[in-house]
Amino acid sequence: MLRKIRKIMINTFQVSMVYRLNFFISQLAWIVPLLGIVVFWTAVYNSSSNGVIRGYTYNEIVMYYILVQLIGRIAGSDVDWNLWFSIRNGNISYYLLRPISYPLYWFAKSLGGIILFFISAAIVLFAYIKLIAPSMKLDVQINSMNITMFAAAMVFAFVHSKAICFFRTIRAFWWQDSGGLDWMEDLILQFLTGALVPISFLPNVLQKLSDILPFQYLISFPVLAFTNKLTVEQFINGLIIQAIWLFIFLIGSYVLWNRGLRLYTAAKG
Amino acid sequence: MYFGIEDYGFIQRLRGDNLTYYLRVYAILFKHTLQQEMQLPLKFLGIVCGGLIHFLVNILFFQAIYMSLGTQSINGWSMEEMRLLIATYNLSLWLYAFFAGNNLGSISNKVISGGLDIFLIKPVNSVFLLSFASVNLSAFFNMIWPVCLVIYQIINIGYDLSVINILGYLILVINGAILNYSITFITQILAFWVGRNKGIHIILSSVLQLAQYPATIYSKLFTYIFTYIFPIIVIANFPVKVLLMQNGIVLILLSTIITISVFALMLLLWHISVKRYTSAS
Repeated sequence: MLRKIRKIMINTFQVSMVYRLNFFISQLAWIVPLLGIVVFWTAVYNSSSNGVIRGYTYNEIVMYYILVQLIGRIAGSDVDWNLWFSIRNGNISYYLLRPISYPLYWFAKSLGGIILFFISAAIVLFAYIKLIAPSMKLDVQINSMNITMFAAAMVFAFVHSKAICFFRTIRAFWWQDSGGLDWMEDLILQFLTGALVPISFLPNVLQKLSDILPFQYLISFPVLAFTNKLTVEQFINGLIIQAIWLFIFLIGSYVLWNRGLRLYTAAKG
Repeated sequence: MYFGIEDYGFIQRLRGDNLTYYLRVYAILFKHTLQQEMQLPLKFLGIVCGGLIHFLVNILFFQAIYMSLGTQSINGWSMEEMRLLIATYNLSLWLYAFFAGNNLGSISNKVISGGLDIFLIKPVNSVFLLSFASVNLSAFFNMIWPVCLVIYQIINIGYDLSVINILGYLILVINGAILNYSITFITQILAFWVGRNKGIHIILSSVLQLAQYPATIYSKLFTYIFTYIFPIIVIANFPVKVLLMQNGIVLILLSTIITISVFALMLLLWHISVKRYTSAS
């Protein structure tokens, strides 16, 4: 099984390397919005009287958005339109005949798609912490504890995000068109994952809502783990809640996938 | 395969490059789009609701920052002015989306796959057809939210607006939409030179999104770059300035010159690039 997954990952990587220039530019494209965000937050902190907003110093907010940009690419839960159209057009028939479960194949493909980004992200993060931050007199606290917590949170966040993505995408068995629902979900998720602003900046109602929903564990939770804003107890509790949500989404996806396959007519396929 | 692009001007004259002809073609395209959109009314409603949520998320983002900050302004921009800026940015974005938003995203794919052939041989200007083949009707309704906010903010701020303020604002919003269109089109044209251009498109789209921030947050160098070279400041900051300042004639002229220049650059790049097209089918 592992050999199959490894092969799919390598194939995905090779396909993405066909257009190399596009591939390498795509790997670094996240830096541009980040620069805009940093410039904007610099202006915000310049307008602040005490230099701390909702518990975040300027240094911490810059780090927050760097991590948000990196994690957002790795743990994105957007609808996978390739899979959506494959279901609608009957193209998954070809894959259903293969000696591997399609959801597992899809997961391996997703993993192959981000593996190089993961490496480039680690390089950029390392360069920021070791070169850029010291030159800007910004102190980034790194220790084995927060690195371990971050790595564990990231593994969970990636699997969790793919479970949510798959769950959202297989609606295609029932719907010809998502009717803009996916877009609405994406926008709401931006808030609830903490991708737009840290959760602590949100009104109390949204903060409480975010506490009981699974989405902050995709982005905000790994960021807080990296920036030493979580105690060990909070971290373990978070992982447990995330594991419960992950289990719910996996079961939900399993049920929906099997029911969807019964409806699947391989139209046009 | 080569399509005799050197005869482009001659062919265009044969096809009848006149306003009435193009208005008739556009009316037909509009009718087809309307029929298509009405086949999926739920999708249409979903996108209109999505537009409202997108707008509210934008407003909430800045509201959350101002509330957390506890001060009245960020680099000289009050919350009311910031709301005007966000509304103007959204207005110009939806205006662009209404006319061309549905069409431009797929130009690069057409270049790569050879799907451009069909657009080059039709008896209509290819840029026109590629840009306006389909209208995004839901974008029209999504313009309602920013328009309402602009009117509310103007009443709330209590400015005494002149005809020049209002007319200038409208002209500059249209200029902003044309700039959005031209810059996006240019990113698609790059597919003639580099093949798949998703990465470049993501970068340029990200830069376009910087238009929603106040110009005062940028350094002098970036203010210059974002005004004259990659004119994102012209998209939303200029209209708001013209709306709120006493005499905005200079800004109106500057915005119009910049918009015409970028549009002309887009056409020039298209004519140069299309000569490289070899078709893939």
